[in-house]
This record gives sequence, C-alpha cells and structure tokens, in this order.
Amino acid sequence: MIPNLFDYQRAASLDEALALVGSPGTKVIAGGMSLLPLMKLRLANPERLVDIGRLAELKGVRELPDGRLAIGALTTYSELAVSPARHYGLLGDALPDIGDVQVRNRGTVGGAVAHCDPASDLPAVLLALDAEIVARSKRGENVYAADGFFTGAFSTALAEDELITEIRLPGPRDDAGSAYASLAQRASGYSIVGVAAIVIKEGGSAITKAGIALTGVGDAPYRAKAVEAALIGNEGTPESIAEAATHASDGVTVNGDIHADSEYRTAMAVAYTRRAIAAALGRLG
Amino acid sequence: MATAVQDVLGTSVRRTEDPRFITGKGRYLDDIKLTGMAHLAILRSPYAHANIRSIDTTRAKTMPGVIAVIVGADIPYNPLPMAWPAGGASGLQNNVSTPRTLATDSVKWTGEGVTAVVAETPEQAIDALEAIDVDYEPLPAVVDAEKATQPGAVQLHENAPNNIVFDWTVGDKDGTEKALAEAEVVVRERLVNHRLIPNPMEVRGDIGWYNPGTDEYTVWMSSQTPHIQRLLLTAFVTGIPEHKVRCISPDVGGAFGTKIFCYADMALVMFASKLIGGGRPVKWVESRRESYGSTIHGRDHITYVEIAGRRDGTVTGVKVKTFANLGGRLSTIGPGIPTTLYGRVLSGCYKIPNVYAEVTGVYTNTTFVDAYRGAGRPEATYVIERAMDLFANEIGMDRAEVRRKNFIPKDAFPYDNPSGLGTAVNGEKIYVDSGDYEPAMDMALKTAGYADLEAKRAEAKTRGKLLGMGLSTYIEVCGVAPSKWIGAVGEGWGAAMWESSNVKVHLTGKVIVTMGTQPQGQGHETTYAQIVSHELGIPMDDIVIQHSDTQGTPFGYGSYGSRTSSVGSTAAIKATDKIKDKARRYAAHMLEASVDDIEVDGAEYRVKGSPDKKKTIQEIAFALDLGFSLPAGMEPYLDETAYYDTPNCTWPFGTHIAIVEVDEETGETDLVRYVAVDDVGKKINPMIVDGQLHGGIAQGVGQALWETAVYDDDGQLLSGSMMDYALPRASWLPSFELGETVTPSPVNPLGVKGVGEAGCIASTAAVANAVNDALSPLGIKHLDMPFTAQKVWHAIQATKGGRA
Repeated sequence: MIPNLFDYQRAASLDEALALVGSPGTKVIAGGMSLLPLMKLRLANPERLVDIGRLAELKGVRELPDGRLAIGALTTYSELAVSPARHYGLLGDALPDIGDVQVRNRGTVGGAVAHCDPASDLPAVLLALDAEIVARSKRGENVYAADGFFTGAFSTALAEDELITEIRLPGPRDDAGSAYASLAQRASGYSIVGVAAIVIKEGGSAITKAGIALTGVGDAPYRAKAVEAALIGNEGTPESIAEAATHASDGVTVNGDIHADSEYRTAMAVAYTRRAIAAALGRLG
Repeated sequence: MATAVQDVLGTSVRRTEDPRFITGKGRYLDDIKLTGMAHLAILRSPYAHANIRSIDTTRAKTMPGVIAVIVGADIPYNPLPMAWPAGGASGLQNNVSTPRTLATDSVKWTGEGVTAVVAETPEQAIDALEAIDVDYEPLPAVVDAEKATQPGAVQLHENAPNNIVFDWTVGDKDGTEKALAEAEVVVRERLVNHRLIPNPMEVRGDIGWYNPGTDEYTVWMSSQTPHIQRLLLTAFVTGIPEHKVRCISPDVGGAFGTKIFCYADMALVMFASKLIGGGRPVKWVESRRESYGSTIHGRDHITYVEIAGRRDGTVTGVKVKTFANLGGRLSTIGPGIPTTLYGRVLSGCYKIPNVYAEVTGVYTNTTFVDAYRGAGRPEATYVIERAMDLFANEIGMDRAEVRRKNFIPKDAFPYDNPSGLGTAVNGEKIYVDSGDYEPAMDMALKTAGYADLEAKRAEAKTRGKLLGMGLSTYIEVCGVAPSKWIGAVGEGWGAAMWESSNVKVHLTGKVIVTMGTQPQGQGHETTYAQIVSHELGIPMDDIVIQHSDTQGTPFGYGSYGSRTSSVGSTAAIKATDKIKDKARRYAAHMLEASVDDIEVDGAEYRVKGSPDKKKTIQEIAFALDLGFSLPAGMEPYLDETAYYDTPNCTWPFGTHIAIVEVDEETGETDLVRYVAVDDVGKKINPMIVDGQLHGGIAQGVGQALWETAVYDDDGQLLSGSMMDYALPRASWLPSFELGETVTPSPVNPLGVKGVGEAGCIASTAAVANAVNDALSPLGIKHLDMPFTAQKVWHAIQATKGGRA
C-alpha cells in the first residue's frame, strides 16, 4: 500500500499545468480518489504527478447567460450536491451514492470524467443530459459532446495534452423529468448497473425526447439509443416502458465478474432502465 | 462517616478506555516508533501452488536503504507449532504441515511468505521486494475441500495422502444409522458454510528487538495471547529460552480470533533484529491486502446433513459429514475448530438421541483457516438450525413448534449431550449445565410478530417483495475451558485454560490489577474495574487494570472463546478474596479484636457490635504496606495473586429471529427487522453486553448476506481487497431489537456466561433461514449463503424455467 517513487509538481496556474501535462510518464492528479488507490496498489506507476487541485479557476458552478450550467472541473461531488445542479433529478439521485463521504469531499467532477471508470456514475449522468466537456491545451480550447467522449474502460477522447476545465449541462426545463437508479456492488459501492434517464414531453402526453445512459454494463458508459428510440412517441405506460427497457444493452458486450455475471447484469440493465424511466416520468408528473 | 462507594457492578458505566480510543490516543502496534527501528517487508507468493527453484536477492541487496535480505534457508528455526490436533490424546492421526518462518522449498497458497527485506524505511523495504527474483515452478492448485480429497486431486503434502489432515468422528455411528433407517422421515441436504476473511479494524504487525547487551528479546505484537506466544516462540519455534523473551501486546484494534495464533512474522522480526545487529528493532505491519493472505480466514465447510424423525415433529437422529478446509498449511489450532468446537455441539439445544458426525480436515491451496468469532459453533448452529427448518418443512409442521418439541427440557440439566462433550482427565463428564429455552423463544416470537407471518408475507408481495422470517434457537459453549477437559481429553491442545489475576492495594489506597487476559476492544479495563470496585469498596477511579505484557502480568491464556468475563473475572474475584482475607486479619490486629469479630462492609472493616471501631481498606493498606507493625507471621503489603480454573464451560442460549425481504425481480435481499433474545447470564456491564451482541449480530448477518472469500480454480483470491470483499455497513442494517432472559451460570460466582461470540453464532443461521423461508413459496428448498443479489436472482430464475 505504498506507491512507487514519483516526482510531484503542484501547478500554480492553469497555464503552468498545461505546460506540464502530456509529457511521457506524467499523470494529472486532482482529488486523487481514483488515482491514489491505483498507485498504492502499484497498478498505476506514474513518474510524475502534476497536481491541479488548487487551481481556483477550475472550481465552482455558475449559470451561463443562456441558462446552461457550467461546472468547474475541480468541483467536488459534495460541492455539486449543494449547487444549482442538484435540481436535476438524476444528479440528486446519483450524488449521495457516489463513493463515501471522504470520496465525495475530495473527488472531482473533472477527475471522474477523465478517469472514465467503466462503473462510474457521473459519466452516465452526463451522457443522458447531453452534456459538453470543455478541454484546454496549449493548442487552445476543445469542446466535446459527452456522447462519444467515453471511448472505453479508463479511456476517453481527451488528447494527451488536454485538461478538462469545465462541464456544461443544458439548462433546466419544466417539460423534462429525470432520475438515476443503480444497483450497487456491495463491496466497492460502484454500480453493477447504473441508469441515468431523462424524458421530455414537449406539449402533449407523448415523450418527444429521451436520454438514457448506462454505466457498469459494458466497457464504457454508453447511450442506450435503442431504448431512447423506443420511448419517442411513447405515452409512458408501464408496458411500453418495460418494452423499451428490454433494449438496454442492445449491441453491448455485457461485463461479467464475481459480483454479477453477464446474464444477471443484462437482466439488471433492463430492470433498472425500466425503474429509472418510470421514476423520471413520475417526476414529470 | 465516609461516603459509601457507589456499587457499579451490573451497571452501564461508560468505558474508561473510550476517551483514548475515540480521540486517536490509543497506542497500537504501528504507533510504536523505537530508536533505530528498521522496517521489514515480506515478498509473498503470487502462486497458490509452486515449487521454489531459486531465489536471487542480488539486485535487492543493492537497493537504497536495504540492510538485509532474508530467505527461508537462512533461518534455523523450526516450523510453527500446531497446538491442537484433532482428537489429540485419543491418538487420532493428524498429518501436520505448518508454515516455516519463510517458505523454503514450496509455496501452498497465494500470500505465503517467501523472502523478507529489512530496510531503513518501510517504503525502501517494499521497493526492494520488486528487485527479488524468485524462480517458481508453478503447479496445479486445488481450492475446494471436498474435491481435494478425491482421487486424482492435486497433492499438497507428502505426509497427507488425499490432502487429508485428519478423519475425526464423534457420536454413535451405529445408533444414528439405525435411527435413520427406521425413521418415518429423513431429510438430506448439502450445506456450504463459505469462507470468510475476518478483517479486524487494526491489521496485524510485530516489532522484534534483540538486545545484545542482555541477550534478550522483546516482541511487540498485535495479539490476543502474548503469554502463549512467548511459550510457543521459545519452546517450539526459535529454541531461545523462555526467560529471554518478553512479549507485549499494545492496544489491539479488534481481532475476532485472528490474533490468537503464532504467526511466522513474529519469529521473523526476532530473527531479523538479531541479524542486523546494533540493537536495532525491526517492525513489520501487514497491509490490508497482504492480510488476506498472511492472517487466517474463517469457516469454509462443506457439509452433508441427514436429519431423521417422526411426523409428530420428534427428531430422532442427525448424521453429519463435513469437509473442513484448513488451507495450505495448518494454523495454530486449525484442527481443533471443526472438531471439538463444532462436532461436539452439533445437536444444539435439542434433545436428539442419536448424533454422529464425521469431519475430514483438508489441505487446499488457500490461506490457512482457524478460529474466527464463534469458531466452529456458528458452523454447527448453521447446520442444525437449517436442518431443523428442512425437517419442519418436510413434515409440514411449524418451525417454532418443531423446535419447542425437541428442546432439552429445563429439568433435564445437567444434560449429557449425545455427541459427547467428552470426559475429563479425572473421569468427570462435561455436561451442558443449565438452560431454559422456551421462554427466550416465546419472547422472540412475540416481539417479531411470528403469528402474523403470513399476513406480512402477503403485504410484502404487493410491493414485489418476498418476505421471510427465520429462527435460530442457538446454544453456545463458551467460557472456555476446564483445563482437565481442554487439556487432556484429546479434545484439547495439551495445555490448560485457567486464568490469573494479581491485585495490589498500594500505600495510597490505589489499586493496580494485572490480568492474564488480553483485551482487543471489549472494555476489560472497565469491566474488571467494576468487579474489583464492587469487591473491595474502592472507587473505580482508584483502580487501574493492566494486561498484555509478559513482564509484570501473571501468565494467562488470553482472550477468546468468550472466556474473559467468566474465567478471567473469577480469577480477579479470587484475588480480591485473598486481599479481603488479609485485610480482615490485619484489621483485627489494628483494632485489637479477634479476626472472627471483624465484619466487612464494602471498604469498611468493623468490629462487630462496636460500629465506631473500624478501619477502611485504605487505612489498612497504608499500615500494612508500610509494615511497621505486623502480627506474627504476616508479611507486609496487600498483594495477592490467584489462578482460577473453571469447573465447566458456560452455556449461553437464546432465540434470534430475522425478517428479510427479497426483491423478486432483482434478487436484492434486505434485512428489515432483527429480534434477538439472549440469555448470557448476569451482566457486569449491560451496555458492553449490548455492544458485543450488536457487533456479533452484524458480523453474522454479514456472512449470510454479503461477505465471501472467492478463489478461482488456480487459487487466486478474487475477493482480494475490500473493493470485492463486502463487509457489513451500519446503514445496511436495521436497529436490532434486543430482549433477554437471565439464567445465571452456576459455574462462577458472578453468574456470567460470556457474550463475545453469541451474536455471531446465532445470526447467520437466522438470516439463512429467513431467506430460505422467503424463497420457499417459489418451491426453493435450500439455497446456500451468501445471499448475494446475483445468486438469489439465479435461484428465482431457475424456478421460472430459466437457466440457473
């Protein structure tokens, strides 16, 4: 439980951090809630850590003029939970169950997104919400859509020399309901299956837009587009939700481990997708 | 008139240890930092089974800060002792292989120690481990105890054909088989009591210090048994004379049995300190992950049970065949747990005329297995309590009524258990001495609303939940143990199990009590002080309890087996009896009265009929400790030691009821209510008793629902950290509803029985019976623990024609 030797450098400014990232053997550390355990087990052995944890310009949540919400990459889960973002039903559901108190107090939104643990909750939430991930490098700013950003286990579209600076969420709307439902692996607390659901009814009784994203099921968090398609035009009856949920893992190679083999996980993807959609619709009233 | 000292015995005084523990001022093994201390790290086998071809330490020796690199061949010590053979004195063959200080030729589980590095810092020691090149010849592995005994299985040890450590039997084979053959009903089932990883909050560690000036060793160890370890390390392992070694156990942050034993690392730090010279102490502390392979595991039985009886509910026989997994090599008392502490109490609290058990102890390529909270008795309780439910369900009779029908009647005590608790060295039989089981069960049934079970089940069903209620009417043998029995009957470990206490009332009236027992968080410093305060009439604040250091405390066997409150406390009372007797004789001298005329009332020693003629214990201690004026033949000082050997074990019992709800769609299982009615005899401190019950219940529930050690077929531990091994959390548990009956134990003056293991012994079976009850409407007769969501879901699917 003692890491290998490594160099440590604390960045005093974003520009200094950007000058340091991307060089071989370098890892960025923010809250350290994922990286440090890996280093202690010597599963990650970086030669150099660049600590961005004190960059004030990456902290805090602000409302943009167009109503969107900009979450600084270094915002902790605990800070997020008391920010305006808590009004998104699915974030309110997901945040209290992430990690433990210590993890929520230290772990950062940007860190979770960049780390991309295949069972992490936040990426699914961002996928369902159609969030944008803003990254910076010496070369300039780059805005990624959440959909397509999470490319595999511990792997994202982020370039080697880029740092996530901000996450942007679409503005809240009255015609949307959202929820997050998950089945936790009892030991780690990570999701065996986590489902983020947002449903929108733009007038009328039928669903016009849906964002359904799952984590824990496959290699990376993903949008369940077949479920979304099945929900469009759907009135949201229990039967129709249940039918839509059966597509929860379509096209996905489902994980199996000692806690949940792929057969069980597939069934739970369906069950929890149905539950998340039902809860989202329930909030829509 | 002096203010009477408040009698605190039997009251929930706050624990005197807690201020230091909960404010971070406890002093645990790793808090000890000694001048010149070096640090040791152990390279452990990545293979479950391999021969060691060679070890190249060349690179490691050149690493920064490295002082020494040690391989097994460097160490002249004997293998570790195995102190409790199955059937000991009966001459039963035990095929023994125990660990060496470091492995020499082969490794038998992932985590067996192979090479050690001593360095200036722990970081340097761990870095250097990566520079050691071990050439292994990997061998196939076996991890399942039943499979390991079958023809063609991988063989671990030349002296253990078919990997069998022992084949032990107890009870009447012919009678039991006859009962089965003649029974109206026989129910058979295979029960798996899966392996657990104990996980005390503080991991283990040791510091060895060789003092070249005196040629003596001091070993600090996180241990439940410093006196025993000194004996084992000197007489059996190192050959160093006993008087040259001092063992000290500092504050111990939990143990659950894991710290009873003699571990290789204890000898290793002694060897390393002498090796590096300069009088430098050497410290080793395991990491949590390392602990999963360097500290014992618990349970791991595969059992075939047959229960026979009549359709009126009378159980006429129980036959058991158990494969007990003992790991790659034997731990200190590994064979004793699934034999004496399991097979001999298999009939529980029931009057079953025919009981027979065969237990096969087995080597597998897994971490060694030894006593874990309850130690054999949770396994026995699980077997008999599941069997009673299976039998009741088969004959269509209420589970509580079947139990009631078969309880040992309260007028049948002392009761001679048919599986036989054995006969002591002097020919005495060991009996179950007391019990009154129905009131506890009735109280639990009423509290839990057992009569309304079907209504509760129907209501839960409307929420998509399968509700189940499970009973565990347990009995526990604790307060171990009469030396005449444990030491000599063949059930024993060739040693004794008395306890010791020294009480000194010093000049200023302050009391120092030294004990042979060893706390691990139970609150001994509080409970012993309550007893001594009660006995001597001296305030608790003026009493200190010392323990855990072989220098300065009388030899004792330590704390485990729920023995401290019954055996240790009685030793303390015996010592205070001697103090009071001497004080009385000296009071007579001071008051110029006859000894027979001195009456004792708390702290006051008075002349009968002359209430003004009196001396307090403090006044007596002052004069007697100075010793200016002594009666003929009396020695100065109030200083008395007592050794106490209990005439019998104690026999707590009770009924626990678990109510669970299973989500029929997902298999998720929640414990929604838990009712426990325990009879642990009289209580020294009811708050501490409740705490022990709460912790024990949680631990047993943890086994039933979440905890499980999982090995793959190659012997790799898949649940190798807390990320995969699920310990119970408070938020997963309901508030426990505790009740009690009080049947004082007749074997000790306090009437206490011990409570450290009771919760854990009862609760696993209660939850297992509840989950099986919840699943019974689906036609499921038996599902093994742990009831993880995945396992329960598969079982439910199988009933629906799906694939299991």
